[in-house]
Amino acid sequence: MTRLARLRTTLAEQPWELWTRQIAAVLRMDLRKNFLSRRGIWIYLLAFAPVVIITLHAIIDRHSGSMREDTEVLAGIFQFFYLRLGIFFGCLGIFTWLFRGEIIEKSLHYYFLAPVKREVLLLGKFVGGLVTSVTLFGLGVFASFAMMYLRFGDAGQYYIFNGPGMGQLLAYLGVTVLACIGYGSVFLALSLLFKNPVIPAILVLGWETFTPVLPSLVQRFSITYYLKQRN
Amino acid sequence: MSASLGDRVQVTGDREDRMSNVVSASAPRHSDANRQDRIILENVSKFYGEVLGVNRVNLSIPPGVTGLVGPNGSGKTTLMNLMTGLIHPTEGRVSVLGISPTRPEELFRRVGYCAQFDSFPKGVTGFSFIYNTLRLHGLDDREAVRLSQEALERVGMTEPALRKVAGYSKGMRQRIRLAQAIAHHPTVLVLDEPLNGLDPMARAESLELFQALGKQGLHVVISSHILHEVDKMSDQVILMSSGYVVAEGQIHTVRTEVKEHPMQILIRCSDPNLLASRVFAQDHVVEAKLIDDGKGVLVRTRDADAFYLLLNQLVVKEKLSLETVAPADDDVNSVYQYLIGSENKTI
Amino acid sequence: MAVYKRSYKPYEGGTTSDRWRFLVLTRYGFSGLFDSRPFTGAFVLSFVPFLIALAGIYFAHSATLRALLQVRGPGPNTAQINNYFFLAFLGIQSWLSFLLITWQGPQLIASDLANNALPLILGRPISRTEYVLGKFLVIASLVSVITWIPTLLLFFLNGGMEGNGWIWSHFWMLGSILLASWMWIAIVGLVALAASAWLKWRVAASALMLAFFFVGPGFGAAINATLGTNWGHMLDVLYAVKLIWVGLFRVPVSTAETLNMLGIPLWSAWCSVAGTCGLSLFLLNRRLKAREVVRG
Repeated sequence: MTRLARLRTTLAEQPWELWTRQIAAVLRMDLRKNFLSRRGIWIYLLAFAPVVIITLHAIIDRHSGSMREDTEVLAGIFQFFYLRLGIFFGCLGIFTWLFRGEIIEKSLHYYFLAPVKREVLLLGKFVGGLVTSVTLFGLGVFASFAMMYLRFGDAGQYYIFNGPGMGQLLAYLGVTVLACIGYGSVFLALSLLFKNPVIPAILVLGWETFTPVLPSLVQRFSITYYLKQRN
Repeated sequence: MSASLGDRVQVTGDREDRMSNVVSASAPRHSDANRQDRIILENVSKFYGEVLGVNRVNLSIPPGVTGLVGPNGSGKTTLMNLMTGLIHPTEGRVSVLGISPTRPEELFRRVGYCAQFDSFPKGVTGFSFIYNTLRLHGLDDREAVRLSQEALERVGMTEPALRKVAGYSKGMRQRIRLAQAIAHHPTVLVLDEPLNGLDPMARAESLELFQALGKQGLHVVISSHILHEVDKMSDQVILMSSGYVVAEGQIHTVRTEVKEHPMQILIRCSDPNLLASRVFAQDHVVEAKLIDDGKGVLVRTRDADAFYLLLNQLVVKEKLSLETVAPADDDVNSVYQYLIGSENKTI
Repeated sequence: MAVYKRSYKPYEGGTTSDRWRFLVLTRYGFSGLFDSRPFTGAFVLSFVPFLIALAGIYFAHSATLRALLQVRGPGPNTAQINNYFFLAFLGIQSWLSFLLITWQGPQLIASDLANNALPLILGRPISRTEYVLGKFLVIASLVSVITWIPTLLLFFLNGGMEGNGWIWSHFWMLGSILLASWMWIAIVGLVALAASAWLKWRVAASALMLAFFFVGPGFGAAINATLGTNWGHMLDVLYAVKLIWVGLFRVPVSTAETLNMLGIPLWSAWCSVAGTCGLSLFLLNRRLKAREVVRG
């Protein structure tokens, strides 16, 4: 039997259906906790605060300002608020809490008392965090984008559907997803390795802030570097 | 060293003896068939840094209700955590029905554990707590709902099931954890202090439930401080002190092995004065005391078999009519006092 | 009729003064903080800038040393010991104290909440205000030792070396140092306590504190950019603090403009600081209770 055939047989023998069900069970519990707990209100604030400002801007400055100017403002908000602060701190909160939260609330053992592979549990938890962060920040970015161009009426619609607008939106959303995956996996790993993941998180924040002024080879070791490439 | 709780008993005298016994004993060999229906611990030790959890424990637990008794810090919870793989032994091997606790995805299909921690995931209701656990087992929605309801019914928690656990009383939380442990129909049930916080009615119901499960052939391992309840429900007991197994087996057999404490036997008969004078003449009888109502005598003897033989002879010879003959300290409480009580004044 | 023997005797000995009893909490708070060796190490390291400043002052006033160094080469320019010097030193020390408090400050209340110790403490003759005061004093003492105490030492040292009534002509700076430091102590202390009172996990409280000081400026900048205003700076407490300090240390308007520090009027910076302290006190008042309401 060739190596490939053996691998195929091994893969076919795995209880994929059971694992899928177990991941779904972990996901359901975590999504409820992440979206509906009062503790998570601040993440909503982080994700939707710019939407409020842009809505105010749409109301107050409805007869002034240019689309070009607003595009630059939106780019600034995305790069400096969402990418460097909102998604960073949001993912820090969501992903470090996935396991550390269970440890703090002394409820992790309930997962360990179920016939779940540790890898399946980890995957389920990570996907739960990812769905939460992508949904909240993706919606935040989408709503910010929509509110920014909606006030321009037909010109805004034209910019989105016939101009570069749609590509710009997709790029923002793509970078948001990548940022959630990048920061999420880093923070999940830190929360499993360190009892106090905030200290390494501060170092990550410092690193992400100062790498742009470092040589390009060093810049490649930061998440922001790759996100900028995508942007 | 012990082979199994069902067939033999090990009781040792002082700590030095106990330790030397344990050290010198070699771990028993277990056949595959034996492994399949027993919880087996072979030379298991667990150290938390320099602190001893349990030391060189050898046990083979058969089906039925097994009471785990010992003072605080004696290693009961450590032993239970080892059985369920929540912690791994520093040395030795654990096997539960032939499954190693290092394989949780197999183990927990057959094991239910009601841990001591009084904590729950935030915001859950009684029902969702059990339902979510069952979904983690891989059950579909319909089965999970059915088994959740069944478990809730068994512990008498159907009515408050949709309320949040955070608002439950201590007894209700205890029962909901018990329901979570039994919901997936395990064959091994490990219960750490399951009677804590329960009111007398709920205790009686739980005891009944444990006994029923034990009779159905489940392995029910229960730790408790309430000795008369352990006595009532257990088919066998394990006595622990300072990380060591002090005694194990059926309580009557354990008591017989405690030679340094004379056995107490209560006899109610037609002429207790005569009986007292006759038995006191024997060497193995340490004390013969008339009881307060004057209708019986309490005898303390170093050789219970010899005493029963003598009693038969006296009954025939002196034409005594016997009302009751019963061992007075043949229970967990007395055995606990004799073996552990002198070391730990409080439980 | 029942006869009861009264053999129990309650404690009738002396107790500590009611007024200063809360200091017990402060004492325990300190011992908790300095249990951590890395924290103690970081605390000691926070005095390095003080030693450097000390050396700088000595260098500025020692003609011999300067001459010695000039002999070997052109020599460095002597630092001017003036209001900028003290403002910069206080700024550095404040940042160091901020890092220390963010690291360990939130454990002061969070650990009591996580271990359900609050009902035990408040079940003693200690009021909620005294509890907060006791905990706040831990932060206040720690930040004081890092900020205004060394700054005043430098001030008097420089005054002594300068002579000719330097202290009297710069006496106003004494008030500036104290006021600026205590304002900083109030902000950092109250925000740390409020964060730790709302989150049982001290690590999360540290993260919240960081987020408060870093996301606020980001959000403020977003407001400024989107709405074309400067009022977004009101959400940036660090900006408000800098603005007030610039005023307190009498930095000339032209310099402040160069530093981009006059985006909002001074009174609004005070409002921002007062708002932060007020919000923190409000949160502490809401959270610190001897009982916990369980929503069942």
